[in-house]
Amino acid sequence: MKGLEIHVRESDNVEDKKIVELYWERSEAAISETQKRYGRYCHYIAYNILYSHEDAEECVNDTYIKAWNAMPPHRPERLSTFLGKITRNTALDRYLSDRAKKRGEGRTEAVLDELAQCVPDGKTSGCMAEELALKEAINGFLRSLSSQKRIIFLRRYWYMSPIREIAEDYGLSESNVKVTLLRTRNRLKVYLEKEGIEL
Amino acid sequence: MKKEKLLRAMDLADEKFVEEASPERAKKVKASWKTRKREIFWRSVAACFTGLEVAAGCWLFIPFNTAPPSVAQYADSDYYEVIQKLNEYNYVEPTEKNNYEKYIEGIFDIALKGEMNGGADFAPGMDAEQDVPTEGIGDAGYVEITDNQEAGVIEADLIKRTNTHIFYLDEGILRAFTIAGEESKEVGYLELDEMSETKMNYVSQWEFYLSADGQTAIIVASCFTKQDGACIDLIAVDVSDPAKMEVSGRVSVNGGYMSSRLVGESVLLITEFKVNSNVDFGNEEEYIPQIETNGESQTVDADNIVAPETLTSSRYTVVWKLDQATLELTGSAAFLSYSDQIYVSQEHIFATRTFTERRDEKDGYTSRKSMTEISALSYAGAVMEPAGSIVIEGYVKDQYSLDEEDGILRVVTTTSVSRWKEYTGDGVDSSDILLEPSVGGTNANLYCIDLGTWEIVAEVLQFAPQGEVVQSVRFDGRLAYVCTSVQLSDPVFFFDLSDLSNITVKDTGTIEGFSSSLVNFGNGHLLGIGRGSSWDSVKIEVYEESADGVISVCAYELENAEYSTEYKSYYIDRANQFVGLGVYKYGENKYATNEYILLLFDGYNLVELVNVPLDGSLQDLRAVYIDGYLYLFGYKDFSVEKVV
Repeated sequence: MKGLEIHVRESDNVEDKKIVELYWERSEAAISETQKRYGRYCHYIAYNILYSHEDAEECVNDTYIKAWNAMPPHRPERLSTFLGKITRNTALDRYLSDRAKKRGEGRTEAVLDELAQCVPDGKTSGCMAEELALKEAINGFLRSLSSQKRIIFLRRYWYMSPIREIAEDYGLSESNVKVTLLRTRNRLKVYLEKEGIEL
Repeated sequence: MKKEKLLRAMDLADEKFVEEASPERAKKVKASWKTRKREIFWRSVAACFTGLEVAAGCWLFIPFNTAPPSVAQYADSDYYEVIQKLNEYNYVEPTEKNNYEKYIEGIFDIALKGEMNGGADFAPGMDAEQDVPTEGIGDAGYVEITDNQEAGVIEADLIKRTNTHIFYLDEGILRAFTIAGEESKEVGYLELDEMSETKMNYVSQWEFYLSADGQTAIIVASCFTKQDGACIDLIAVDVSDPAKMEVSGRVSVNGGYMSSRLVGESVLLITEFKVNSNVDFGNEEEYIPQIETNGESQTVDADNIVAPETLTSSRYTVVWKLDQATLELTGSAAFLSYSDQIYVSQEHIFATRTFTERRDEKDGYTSRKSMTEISALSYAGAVMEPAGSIVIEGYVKDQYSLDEEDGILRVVTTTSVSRWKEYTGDGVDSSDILLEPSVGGTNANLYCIDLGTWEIVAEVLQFAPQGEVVQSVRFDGRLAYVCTSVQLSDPVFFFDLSDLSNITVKDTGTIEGFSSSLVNFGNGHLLGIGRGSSWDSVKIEVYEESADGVISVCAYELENAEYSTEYKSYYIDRANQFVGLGVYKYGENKYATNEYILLLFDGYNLVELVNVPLDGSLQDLRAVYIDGYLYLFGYKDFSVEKVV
């Protein structure tokens, strides 16, 4: 299956650049514009991890602060993913530090458990080189996937979206999504082992 | 920890991948996936259709099987040889090569694809005209009045008599009359036509025998049932007391009635049994003739079935031999594919089948020749058994065209040969298929066949004027009389067969009219009954042989009249030189009347002695002369005329 080519609309790109310019100009409008454009997006990512609107809102606010602090010097090409990553990591940090609360009926834990299947055996290492290797491996793996599998995989393990929602959004059955995720995880494990990646 | 690390490591995914998977883009992705699904679906559908087209193509162009279906499962049957022949005959080879030609090509092709195939195109008619010396049996009161073809081989009729009574079968009613001149009267009758919802009687075809002792009448009753189709009932009637006649026995036979004979103590019932094309060979009743006697069904033995190598018909001619007194079955035999004429001599039963021999010749012409195969059964012994067969050119008109005399079978046939060339024009219209005028035509042959070797020992070929057909034949000992004609003129031929190595032929030359029946009238005279100067005239003519040829002695002709070609309807009295028959005359007021005329040949002329009205169909009118009176019988009509 051929992957979809993502065409970023020029208008979107122009909008993002304008917002980034506001950050560089240290204009307070940068935050409001960011909230207007990506507020819901960031809230979605945070909620899928924390399953608390209040906690998610706090994460989103943290995202704005971190973005204010990151630009400059950063001038991201894709503002959405830049902000999404900030939100995701913030939410994960909060989730992992506050796991005892077990919100969301263990749904985030379930995602972690799924990913546990992909972890190759071996000792952990915090080495920068290995992190780069890991990045290469992950992206190499994602490139090897078809567009559909890749989207489903990232919706689940980047956006933390529920399986039901993934199925609804793409007109698939839940069992179809589950099987796709299972097979992709298995392929990821093999891929990482083949690449000699240790986590 | 590792799983958490991996979860975080997902953060390392390329931004474009993350953006691609963004929930906000989900709708667009969903739509594109749906489109793709649709594309896959329709491609699958297209693939299926392609597959179906390929399959249809294979179905359309797979050649049809041209071999008959196997019947090997019946190999253990006694009738396996019959089954094989019927199976091959009934199989219709497809005219098209495959389903494409059958279903598709015909839509666009409006040409007439004619092909002249062989077949029994020249099957002769079934006129049963007889010319047989009248004989009286004499013992126990029975007196023969039917003009049988063979001495001692009695033919059924509508009228029989004893010394004291005359019996007449009047459309299903057997009537008994006294023989008392002008005092004669009907003394009893028995209605035999029992109508029912499931059975229909063809009373117009009924005829009967009278036993030698005059005590029993055997009615041969053609009928039809919804369940079994055509059938024949043999009904025995006790006529010992003509005033109180009653049924004393009954036998049923499946099939159509062809003919019958009473020979000594046996009734020979000759029937036709047809096998349907969609026969179930697992059910013998569907393809083997059977008879039901005393509630039991009996079939013809496989050893007693005579069949040619290649069938030209799926009909049997079946001979059932029954005891005259008890109607018990004493023998049976069948000719498969023989269903044209039957001739019964004193020793054999002969059956004929006509077919066409076709040849495609080198010069582009096609020829067709009518042929006849004659097969025989001997029945004189205790068991009926096949006696041999032969193929000759031409077709046989009726039973009188065959005669057995001293081990020689004499046969007269009409030969028919056509030769033509067929070609098509540039177009496809049927009118473009043109035939060159056919060359050939009709003529007549006479054959003498040795029944010991079944070889032709003498023959006279093409003796008639070209284009003429045989109208009537009569054998009389060593003599043979043949009338041929085309339209309304005929010669009559006299053959002297006393020396087969030197057969002499004389004829009358072309004379007006033709004879549909020839009768040996005794004293060297031949009687011809037929048409005169026009198709509306009836002519009775007397011929005699002279040194120079055959000459007409005298003729009696009626204008605006019709007559019956049923030979049994003629009253032939050689002793008194009487000839009687029913005629239908168109009157001046255009109303037609039935009349019965009795003629006397006084040696010079035919003189009309009786001419009276008589109701009924011409072929059913009967008369008999007894001691100065002519007794006349018709449909609910009886009269006695004094003959002066």
